[in-house]
Amino acid sequence: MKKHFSTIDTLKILLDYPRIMYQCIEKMDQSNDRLINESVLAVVVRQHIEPLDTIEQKRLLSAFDTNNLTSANVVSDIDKRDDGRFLLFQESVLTIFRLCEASLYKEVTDAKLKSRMASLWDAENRLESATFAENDPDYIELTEDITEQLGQLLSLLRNNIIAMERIGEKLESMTAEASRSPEKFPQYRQTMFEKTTHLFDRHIKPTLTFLDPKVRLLGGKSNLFDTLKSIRDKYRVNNKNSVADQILRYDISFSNAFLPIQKVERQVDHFLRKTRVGMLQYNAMEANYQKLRTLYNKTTTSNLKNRFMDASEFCASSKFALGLKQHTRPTCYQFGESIAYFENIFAEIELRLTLINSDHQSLFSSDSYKDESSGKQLERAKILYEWLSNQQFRSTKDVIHVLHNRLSEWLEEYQFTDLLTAIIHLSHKSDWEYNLITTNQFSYITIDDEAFIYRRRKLEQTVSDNNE
Amino acid sequence: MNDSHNPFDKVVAEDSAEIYKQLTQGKVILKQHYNDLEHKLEENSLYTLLFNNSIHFLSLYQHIGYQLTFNHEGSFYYLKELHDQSIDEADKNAFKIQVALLLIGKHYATTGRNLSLLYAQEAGLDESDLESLKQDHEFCEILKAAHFGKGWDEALDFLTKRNFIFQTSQTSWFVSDAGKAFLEHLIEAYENNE
Repeated sequence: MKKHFSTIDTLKILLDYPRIMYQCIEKMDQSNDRLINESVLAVVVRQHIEPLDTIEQKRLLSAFDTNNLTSANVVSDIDKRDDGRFLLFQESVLTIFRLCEASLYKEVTDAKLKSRMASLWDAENRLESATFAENDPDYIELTEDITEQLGQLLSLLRNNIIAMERIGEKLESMTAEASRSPEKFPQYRQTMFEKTTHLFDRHIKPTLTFLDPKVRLLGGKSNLFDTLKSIRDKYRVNNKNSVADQILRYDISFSNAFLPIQKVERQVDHFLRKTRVGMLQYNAMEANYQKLRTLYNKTTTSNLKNRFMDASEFCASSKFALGLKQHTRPTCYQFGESIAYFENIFAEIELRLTLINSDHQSLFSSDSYKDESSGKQLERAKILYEWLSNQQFRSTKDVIHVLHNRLSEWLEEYQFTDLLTAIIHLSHKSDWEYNLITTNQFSYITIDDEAFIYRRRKLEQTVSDNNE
Repeated sequence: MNDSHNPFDKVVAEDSAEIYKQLTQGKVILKQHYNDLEHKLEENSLYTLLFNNSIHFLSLYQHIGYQLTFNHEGSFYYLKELHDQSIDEADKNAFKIQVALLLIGKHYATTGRNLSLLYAQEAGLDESDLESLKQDHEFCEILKAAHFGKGWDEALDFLTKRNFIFQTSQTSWFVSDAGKAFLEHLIEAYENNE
């Protein structure tokens, strides 16, 4: 006897190999049947398990076994027909797979929308005689029914729109052959028109009409938005504002759905007017866009690191502009010959000489410098501050580097934290004529064996006419 | 050595320096270039210079470690590294260019226009195109996944800087021969069912 799996484990296996169910749903949709032949399912399963190892093959065979599917309640009924046994999958299971693969959405038909509308009118009528009392179970149930209907209708339409927005793909596959051959194009044109018109009339137009706030229905019946308004008003009059608000939110969602469908309608219209060259261009763009989409979809997996598309495959097929990039040019040493340039150099040398000649003795006793206790650290910081206040500064592009140089000369046991303390102190210093500006240029310094990367900070004089 | 055989004599140094500058900026050098001031396409003298002295320039760039590459379909030159160790980064740029151009082409075809208009200075992309490109959620996500973190503004800027599209005003662009070469290549490959 084969092993049985629980419902959740069966579903997990089904979802691990979604292609099997996708293919089954496609087959059911093609034959317009809600059931699938057991042997057809078996063939599909066998095709997919071929590359797997034996243990995994066994696992899949057990999961897709009819008995297991039935006992896990994934299949709700088995129909015995002349050509074998047919399985009826739970609608909710099929919905999950349709949700995962947009091309499997079933377009909403006119009939389906009409029946939805009819049940809304029915609810509207029932509201006429409702009590609007919180303790009346009939009223509570009716309200629940209305919100449930609206929720279902919205998700139905949303799925439909997602399917419709991928209409480019459908148009491309329908006309690929025709657009490629100039000789056969006129011949194909007729069938292509028929197919496209069918797609338009049966699926796009009904939804578009359904969501058009201006549409008038036969027999003077109110359209979706009028019906919603009437239901909402009834709640509003009876002081049921929270329900009325909820219905209003649905109303807004429905009207938001109208625009994207209108866009699809225009796209189909443009498509029908195209010449062969136009259609070829359209199809070429669409086909390549689908390749790109496949790459993009690979980035939407649960792997957080995988955020960018893999370029290699896409680039390799066209080889266009491969290797194009910016190159760095050699930069020049900027030696000057002007008087100002030399004056600058001498001023710099002078400043450095004064620093060397200034108080050079270490202020830190050897046992305090690495002491972790906060009191000692504070003491060390105070001495540093004092030293800082005696330092002379001038405008520089990289004050951190300047401080690093001075500190490493002055302090025998100089550490990174000393530099940090000094910089923080400088950035809080307000009683001097300099501004500290953080730039977006990076640089690095090395202390002992460690390197530190930092953003350069500029020191700029606030008073413009001040000459040192 | 006889001076008259020195290929450097045939080329004006300033022009050669300008070519070097543009190529190292990652630009392609096109046969026809858009003149911002006069608002028209005109013959690019730098291209002519490169074309007429191609052997000189090929060896010049080879000597400094680059490969001067010519694209026949789009009639443009660009610079590659001779022995490229950082091919990943280079591919990333090519991919970015291809993705942005493809999305523009797809948008154009979807809105019912012939792509030849996209290559025309009088037509091209306008403000409303940019608006709808920006509103297309999937396009924007794809751009992000192609390293255009800032979306369409960055993508158009990237293409403009490298001469794959020309900017004709604050909010209008058209695709250059270099960009056209890519889109036409895609169409040709599709027609031949490659």
